[in-house]
Amino acid sequence: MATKPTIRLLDTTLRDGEQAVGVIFTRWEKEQIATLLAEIGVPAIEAGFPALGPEEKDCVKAVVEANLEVKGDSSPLEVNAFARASKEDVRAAAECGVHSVIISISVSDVHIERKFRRSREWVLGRAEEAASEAKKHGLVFTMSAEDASRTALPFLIEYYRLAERLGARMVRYCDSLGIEDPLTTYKRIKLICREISLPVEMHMHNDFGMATANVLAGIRAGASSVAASIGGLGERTGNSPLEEVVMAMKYLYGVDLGIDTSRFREVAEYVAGASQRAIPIWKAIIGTNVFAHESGIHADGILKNPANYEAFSPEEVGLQRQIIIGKHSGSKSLIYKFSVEFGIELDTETANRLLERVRSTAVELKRPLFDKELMLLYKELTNGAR
Amino acid sequence: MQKLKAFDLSDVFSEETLSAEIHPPVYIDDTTLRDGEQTAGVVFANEEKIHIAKMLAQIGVHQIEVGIPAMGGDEKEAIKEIVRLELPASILAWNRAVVEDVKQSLDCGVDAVAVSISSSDIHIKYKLRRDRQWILDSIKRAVEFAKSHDLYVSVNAEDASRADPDFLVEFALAAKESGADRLRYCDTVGILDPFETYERVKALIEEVDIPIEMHTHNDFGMATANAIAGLQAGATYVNTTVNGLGERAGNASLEELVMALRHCKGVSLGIHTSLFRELAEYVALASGRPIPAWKPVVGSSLFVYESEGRASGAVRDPTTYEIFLPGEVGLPRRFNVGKYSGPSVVRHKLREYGHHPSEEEMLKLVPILRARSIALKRSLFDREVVEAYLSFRERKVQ
Repeated sequence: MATKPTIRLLDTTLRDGEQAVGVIFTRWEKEQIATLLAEIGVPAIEAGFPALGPEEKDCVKAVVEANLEVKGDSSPLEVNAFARASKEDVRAAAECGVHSVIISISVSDVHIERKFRRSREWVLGRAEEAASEAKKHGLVFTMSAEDASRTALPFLIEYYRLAERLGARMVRYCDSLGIEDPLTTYKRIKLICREISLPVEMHMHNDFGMATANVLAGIRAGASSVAASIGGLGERTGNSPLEEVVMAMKYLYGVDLGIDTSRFREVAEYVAGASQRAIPIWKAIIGTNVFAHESGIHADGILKNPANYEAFSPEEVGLQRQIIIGKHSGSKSLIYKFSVEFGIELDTETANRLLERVRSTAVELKRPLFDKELMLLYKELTNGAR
Repeated sequence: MQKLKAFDLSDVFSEETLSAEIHPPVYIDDTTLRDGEQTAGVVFANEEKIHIAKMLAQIGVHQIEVGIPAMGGDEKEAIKEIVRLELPASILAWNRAVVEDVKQSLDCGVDAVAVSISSSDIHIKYKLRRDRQWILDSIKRAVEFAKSHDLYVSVNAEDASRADPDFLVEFALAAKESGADRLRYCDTVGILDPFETYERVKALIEEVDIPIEMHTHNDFGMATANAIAGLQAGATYVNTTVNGLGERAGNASLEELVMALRHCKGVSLGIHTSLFRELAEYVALASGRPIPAWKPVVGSSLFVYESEGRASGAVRDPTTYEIFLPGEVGLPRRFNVGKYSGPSVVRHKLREYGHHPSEEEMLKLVPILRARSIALKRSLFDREVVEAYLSFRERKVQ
């Protein structure tokens, strides 16, 4: 029988996103981003890492004090803070007044032996200490397993069971190095979901370009929460992009997560400005080039029916469709463009002759043509004909 | 748009599926020069095309898809020029499934052709305005013509991911019976997920015995994962592009695919990956599309350590946070001091400049540097870190 799960989205642009090399958000920018996320209907965010120091604490407090409401379900935005598994970190989170804290510690042997130079028992002890501290402050908490994808399953499950006993609301599975492939992710998450009763959250990195696919694999295997970020901003290659997860859930699986996707481009532009990381024009879902069609075959297909080459319409993510005229254009794209944009009806013969000039000019300029250049070529051609 | 499948948590994949191994050999057919150049706004100069072809051959790509001879003019010249180089790779030209197009390819002297035609009803009806039989006839005509001239032939099933699976079988059989050497499975609009990819490719292979090539698009960010799922299902060729260059959100990226196969699946293709960054930079410049600092495998920031969590591991042992060494793809490792930095990074950075701060100094210095980084809204330059340390020491002496 088909069961349609509710998938919770948690945005970590303000925490893992800010951890990207060279990215720093000001307090004001953090407030703006949190506001935008609440406005498009994201129910939960990770606002920062309070243990970093007084400036970061001020940022997280500011987000908490903004008292944001999630659009569409008028519940308060759930503000999480990140903490390593230590009393001090959890206390710093509590001092910011957050609703919940994400307590994180590495559980793989490679990290335990080579990073901490400790034992598995030490890891479990730290987790327990941090959880007690969270409870002392009345905080809801998620127990996160860093480097879970390189952790032997029996110990990972032992850690998650401890989380269960300690009263965690959720556990997090981190592919910290982004090394999983979807079938492996599915297999491991399925097993974990069989062994524990807590909800599982996916936190997947993009080192080999498979973050989104791995998140979806986790969801298909029974995970019920996703930590994603706008544009995939995050450490190294980043996280699974929130916009990819939302659109893939909707168009590939028919599950609407209730997000106002028509503002994706706007939110992504704001984050791009604040992080000083421009959105590549070819970025999936939100890149300006995603709905730009140049090749004759594609443009012709789009003109006949957009569904020929588009999985969803540009307005749905706040973008526009463009027909670009360049080396790969065909006569039909010229006819269409002249008719719709310039009000000039080209006959086939003129279009074909114009196309030759367009192609050689585009190769010479090594780029597509601006509208003015296109008109100039057209005028040269038609004047010459007279 | 049609939904691929109602979302269903009761899906159970067999242990066999989930443990599907990739069986080498796996071949790369790189299409940077064809699908890559077809990207809106991208035009390669002929010299650039030739240089990219040389680099692809140098790193060990098995087949290079060089362009579309039917476009004529400069495009044909570039292709002929590449053929004349006699590179150690097969040279493939792209064609519509039309005899006239294939003639243009023959004229260029390539050893292989792709013969492409839509396989989905939506394309057949709305784009081509024809019927299924016309498709099968076109395949037969074009492939038989190409085979009569001893060309290696790949039949491209455009929009295969939206095709009726039964018709796709007919399509593949028509290709095989006409003498085609392989079938290219195109997820033209990039709408598959790895599970669908696996199941569909597996089903096709079970029906038709013909080598399969994966051609995946990145519209939902899953091009690489889908290509790998296809290989797990038994495909043996992958169509890639450098930097994932390609229509809309692009194709499966060459460097992601090769490294994912090597490090996630343990399959080595014999590609010289240490030239990846150099190749990526060249294609980035020629296509006018800079490599984002965070691009998987070749981004400049991948081996830069700034946050304490990661850096504290990496200074002790890089394997804590590195699956492969930076040299394997031609990148450097660096340490940067910023808002998320702690004692490990700062100490490492100061040591690079011959300073050995004490524990006590570090405790005081780290908050100063973090505050400065926050005030500047960026990571600190090395010079700023060293100067902050020196002035801090001076104050202490006074």
